[in-house]
Amino acid sequence: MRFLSIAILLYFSTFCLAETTTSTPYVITGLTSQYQLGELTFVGQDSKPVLKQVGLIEVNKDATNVSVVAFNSKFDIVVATLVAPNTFVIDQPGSWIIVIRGEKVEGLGLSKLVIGTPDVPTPIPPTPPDPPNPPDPPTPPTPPNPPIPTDDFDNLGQRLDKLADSLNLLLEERLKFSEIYYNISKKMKEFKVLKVSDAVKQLTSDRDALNLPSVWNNINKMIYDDGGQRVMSREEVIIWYNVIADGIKG
Amino acid sequence: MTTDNSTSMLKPTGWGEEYQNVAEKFATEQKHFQMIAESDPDFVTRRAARKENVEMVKSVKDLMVADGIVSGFSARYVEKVIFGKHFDFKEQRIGSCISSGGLRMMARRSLIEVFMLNDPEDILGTSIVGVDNIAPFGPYSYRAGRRLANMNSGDGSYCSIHVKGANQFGILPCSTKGLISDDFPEPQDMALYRKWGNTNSLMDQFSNIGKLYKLLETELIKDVDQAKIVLVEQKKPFMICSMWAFKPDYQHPTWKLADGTPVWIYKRDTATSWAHNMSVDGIITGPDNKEYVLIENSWGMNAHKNGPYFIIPINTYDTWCKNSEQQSIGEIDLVNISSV
Repeated sequence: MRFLSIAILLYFSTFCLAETTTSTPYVITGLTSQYQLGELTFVGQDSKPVLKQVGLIEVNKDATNVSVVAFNSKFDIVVATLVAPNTFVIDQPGSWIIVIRGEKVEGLGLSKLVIGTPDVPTPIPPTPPDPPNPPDPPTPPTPPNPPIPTDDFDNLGQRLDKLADSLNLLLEERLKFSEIYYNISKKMKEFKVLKVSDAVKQLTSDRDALNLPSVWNNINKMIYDDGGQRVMSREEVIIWYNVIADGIKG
Repeated sequence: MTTDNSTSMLKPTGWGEEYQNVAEKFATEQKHFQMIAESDPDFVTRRAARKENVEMVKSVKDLMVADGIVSGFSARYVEKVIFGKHFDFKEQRIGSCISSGGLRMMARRSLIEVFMLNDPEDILGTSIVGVDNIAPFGPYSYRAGRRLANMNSGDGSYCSIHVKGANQFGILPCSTKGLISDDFPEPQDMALYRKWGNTNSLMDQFSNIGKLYKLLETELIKDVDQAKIVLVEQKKPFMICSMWAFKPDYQHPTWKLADGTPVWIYKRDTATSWAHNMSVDGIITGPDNKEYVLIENSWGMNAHKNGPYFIIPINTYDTWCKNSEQQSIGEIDLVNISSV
């Protein structure tokens, strides 16, 4: 939480959730020995202030056992830092899907945050006079997800994405499902899983553990039908699993 | 390794039957091969080369280069890419060299097919130790060959009849239910091995499973040029049955393995003879830009100065070709896979 030692709200964009809100304010990091007298903030001479944008997730106060995790398009995962009760911060730039878990969490439970600009060094003295309040900048548009690439399996990835969209599958479920396929593909590539039959057993077990609603049978059927008509080498199966993961992730 | 144990502590050998002289052993091999070729010409005909997995080829080459090998191919580096180490199967305990060497090359060939040639198949197992073994169960293949040759006592077998056995009766996964052994892929219990080798009773219990995984291709290797095509280009190692024995000749002045171990070059030991099967695992070029042949033995990890294998100059192998029976381990029909 040291990076939140002084938070200056320069820009605020809120995505509407019932009581849980997300925003992308700015904070100044790199301050030492700071304290406040009146409206003035005093800092140490060795401070190296940097202005940076963060993702702020404020979960409704009566929610319990709350955790917040974020994924980006490369499926990197970051765990949000708890900075105050039910208040979390993500301080890594990028476009993040936010997954909020907990009991009595009000709101969608999923949202997208774009934490933009690289860190900006902030000069200290002289402090300029307070400028007039600038007009609110326009909310940066959420970049669209990159299109699902074509593939050598009759564009299975695109077909799965389209089917998942048409079934209104929850994003959180899609991410979890695709993660299973990414993981097994990676393990095969690294020779941690050698036999395709072992990979299939692992996939089946992991999918069952997700306990997905029956609407997912449509996805499973498309995968099964596609795989059933192909004779693939181990190398092709690795690629095929990746295509499935890409398509389901959307 | 600083010693060679192959001469001082001679291990079991088993090419042919004990009562046969060299001429009779070769005559028996030729008779068997002729019968096989006439009854099943497809089995002894070379299949076309297949496209290789470029990434895997590069990984194998990188490991070979690290061991001072400039070019060529040695099958033992495929398992190093996948498992991070070479096979360390235990030594043969009886005169089962035909089977002991054969299972090593069948294990390597199956890895080559699935990981290097992108065959749509699964390997037999996932481990180099224990029941879930990458290699087929030795005694089953041993009996399959001996069964065809009507060998029901003593030890030993023939290269040609062994590959025909693997074709006709298949090879047995070590993980087959009901299979009992003190070790895998071959027993250390000599009585158990011989019980398998001398009657059909054990084999018959599992032949319905073994027949699912057949050796589909072999080739009689006659000279170096042919050997290079089959092994280096097509990634098919060979069994080599002969009376030749070997001993260390000299420590190569510059050639060292990745771990700093010096490479020893071997030569024929004319003072003794081994009625033995070994495996032609690699034809390679050393750091001196000379060609060598890597011979894998089944006498354990400490058999030779560099471990379970030794290296001979290509001209030695050229002469050996004229005094041996060599059968390639080609296409193996493994486990068909389903991706879902």
